[in-house]
Order: sequence, then C-alpha cells, then structure tokens
Amino acid sequence: MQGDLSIMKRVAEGLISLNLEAEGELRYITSVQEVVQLLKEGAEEKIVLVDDAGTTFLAPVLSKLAGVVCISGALGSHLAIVTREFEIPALMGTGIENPHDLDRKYATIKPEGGTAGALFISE
Amino acid sequence: MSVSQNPLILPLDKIAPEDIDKYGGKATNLARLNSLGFQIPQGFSISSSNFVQMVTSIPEISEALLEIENTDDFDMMINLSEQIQTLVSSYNVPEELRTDIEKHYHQIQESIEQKDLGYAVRSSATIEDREDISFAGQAATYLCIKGVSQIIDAIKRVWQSTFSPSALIYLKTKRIPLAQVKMAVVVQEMVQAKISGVMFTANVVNNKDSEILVNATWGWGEALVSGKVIPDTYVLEKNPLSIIQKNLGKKQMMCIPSDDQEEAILEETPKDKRESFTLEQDKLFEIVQLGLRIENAMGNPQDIEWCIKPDGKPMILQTRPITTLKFP
Repeated sequence: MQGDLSIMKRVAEGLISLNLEAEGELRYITSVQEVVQLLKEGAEEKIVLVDDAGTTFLAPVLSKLAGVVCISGALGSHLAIVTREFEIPALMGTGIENPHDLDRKYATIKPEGGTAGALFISE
Repeated sequence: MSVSQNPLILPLDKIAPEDIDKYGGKATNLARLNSLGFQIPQGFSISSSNFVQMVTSIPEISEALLEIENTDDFDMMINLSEQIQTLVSSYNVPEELRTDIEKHYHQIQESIEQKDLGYAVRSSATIEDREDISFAGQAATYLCIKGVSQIIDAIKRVWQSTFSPSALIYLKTKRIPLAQVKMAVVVQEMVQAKISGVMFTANVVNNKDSEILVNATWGWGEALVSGKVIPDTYVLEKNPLSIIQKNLGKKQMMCIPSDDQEEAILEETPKDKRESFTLEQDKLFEIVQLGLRIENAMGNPQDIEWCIKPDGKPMILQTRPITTLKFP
C-alpha cells in the first residue's frame, strides 16, 4: 500500500525544514526545462529531488509540490527558507548517491523528532 | 527632486530604517545593525532609483513584465525573462551614477584594511528580507569584485537577476506585482572568513522561539546558503543557554579566495576539517549571544548570516526577519 512505512524502504536521512510529513511520486529534477515539463504534467502531490539547495529554478512548482528532497544543503540554505514560505517540507543534506534510481518511485518524507527526517521509498 | 535630496548612492552608515523603498531590505537592516553597534563589513548601497531609471529608459522591459503578469504559460515567461535580461545587459549606466560609484569606491578603499579581496555585490530588493517575503537566493550575489568597472558590471548583473525566470515566477506566486519590484544593490568589503554560518533565533522547524538553530561551515558562507555543502547543525535552548542537538556536517567543500585572490572558489575541505565541528562550545555561545542581542534589538526572531574572521572576531553579514514562524 502506498505510504505504508512498514513496507517501504528507508533510503536516506537528513535535516527537515518543517515538522511535516509528505508523500507522493518522487521526481529527480536537474533543469528548469524539467520543471516546466513537470508543470505541464501536473506537479501536484509530487516530491522533487534536487542536487543542491541553490536550485532556485524550482520556484514555478513550489506552490504545488508535496515536498522537496535535497542531496546537499541544510536548514539555513535558501531552498529550505523558500520551501518553508510555501509550507512544504524539505529534507536537506540527504547525501543520496543514486538519485536516478529513485526517480518516479513513490516516496514519503517523515519527520523523526528535532530537526531529523527520513526518506522512505516503495519498492 | 535634486540628487542631493535623493542621492543615487548612500554609505551603509547613512541609511535610515525608513529608507527601505530606496535602499532595500538588506541595506536598511545592515544599516540598523551598524547604528546599534554591531560589526558589519563597510559598504554603500546603490539606490533603487537607479534601477527604476534603467527600467523607465527601456519601455520594452515594462511591456514584457506586463505580458508575464498576464500569462500562465511558463515557456513564454522563460522566453520573456531572457529577453528582459538581454535588454538590461545592453544598458549603459549613466555617467552621473558611474561617477558617484567611483567616488564612493575610492572613499571606502581608503578606509578598509583588507583591500586585496575586493567587494561583494549583493541584491537588496525593496521587497526583500521583509517579515513575509525573504526572496532568499532569488537574485544574484557576486564575490571578490575589484575595481569600478567590474563593480558596475556586477550591479547590472544583479539587476538582470531580478528578472530571472525563477525570481519572476517566485514573485508571481507570491502575488507581488512585477512592476512594483525595485532592486537596490549593496556593495560591501569582502571580509576573510575562517568560519561562516546562518543562525535562526527561533527554531523554524518546530516553531519554538525558545530554541535557536545554527548552521556553520568552513570558509565563506556562500557554499552554505547556496546549498553546495552539508554544514554542521546545532540546536540550542535559549534559557539556560545549552546545546540540545548537534550534527556533524560533511562540509565537503569550502568557499575561499583563489591563490591570486581574484575570485571565490570552491575547494575540497581537508579531511581533518570535514571530521571536526566548526564551532567549539565557547565560540558557538558567543555567536548565539550575538544573535540574541540582534533579535532583541530588531524586535522579532531573525535569520542572521555571520562569519568569524581569522582573528576570531565575529561579524554580521545580514539579518532579516524569519518569514515562516507560526506560533500557536
């Protein structure tokens, strides 16, 4: 069942920008063109995975996304500040090494107390 | 209005809090810190009236902004954004402004100690660093800029970044009329930094104003705010001041001056530094106490960028209200 953490695989930990849970299809995005493509498809209830928190090109989709996962960065990074303004959680500094493998998998971002959070993926 | 009544440029120590519409959020907040006795890098701000003059002199910019305002087509927005940026890049800065920049540049050159690192040229939009909108990272910052010509070029590039697709769409999403945005620009001395960081004087994750969050990394803070590194994270209780959580960041890279000091570069962090916390407890507490004084002076929780110079003295690079706190 989608979103059931007991059958999902824990793939990364990081610092969570807001104490909120998010779930949805994960998309690995590396360019503004991919952002525009996602908008055309419908960005609602998607979680976007990006390489670094200098990723200002996410602006068009931030108001629609369920959440953001960032391979680098932390709570003081611009992306964390801006995602908070849009009231969506960003899991920062995950250090994910295989972003392409996670693309289009169903994902959950879960707060784990304090500033900790984790990313779970459906197999 | 004459130039003397409405100066094109003012040093940071001459800007008043009510000047936000002329000099932007970043400059007025820095000016306030300076007037309260906090250590900030010296600098001056290019008034937003110069940006307005540029936009007024190129009517195609306002026409394109109106088109962006009235469309939901993102391909069209990106295309128009590129057109506007090309128009800005071809703008010739008026002689009067050029002369004024030169005058302020030479004045500041005479008064600063470290001249070889150049200047930081930073956005200070009139809608930036407000209590509801941060505009964080949407407009550009340029480091280690040297000489009048390079500074003028960097000012134009900051103006250009106001019209980047990301910035325009951010503003549209926030329902801010695009024609309302005016960009002032701060020019500040570059300061050598051993450690840099960001501090939130309230915990933005759980909305507790009894806690403080600190991120810290080696070198200049650009690598941290732009998210190129995973910095150290500290969570502290304000009263009594104590550390309740600390996470060692990987700090893979550090932003430092190049050997010839001509530019800021990202270099791999030595292993021993990656594996050590940036801040010992005494220095962490010193930074946090500085943050609490700023919060008290500014009247609300702050998002503060700071650095520690090689001599161990802290300096404040920016403060802005935290935009996202929700207290019950």
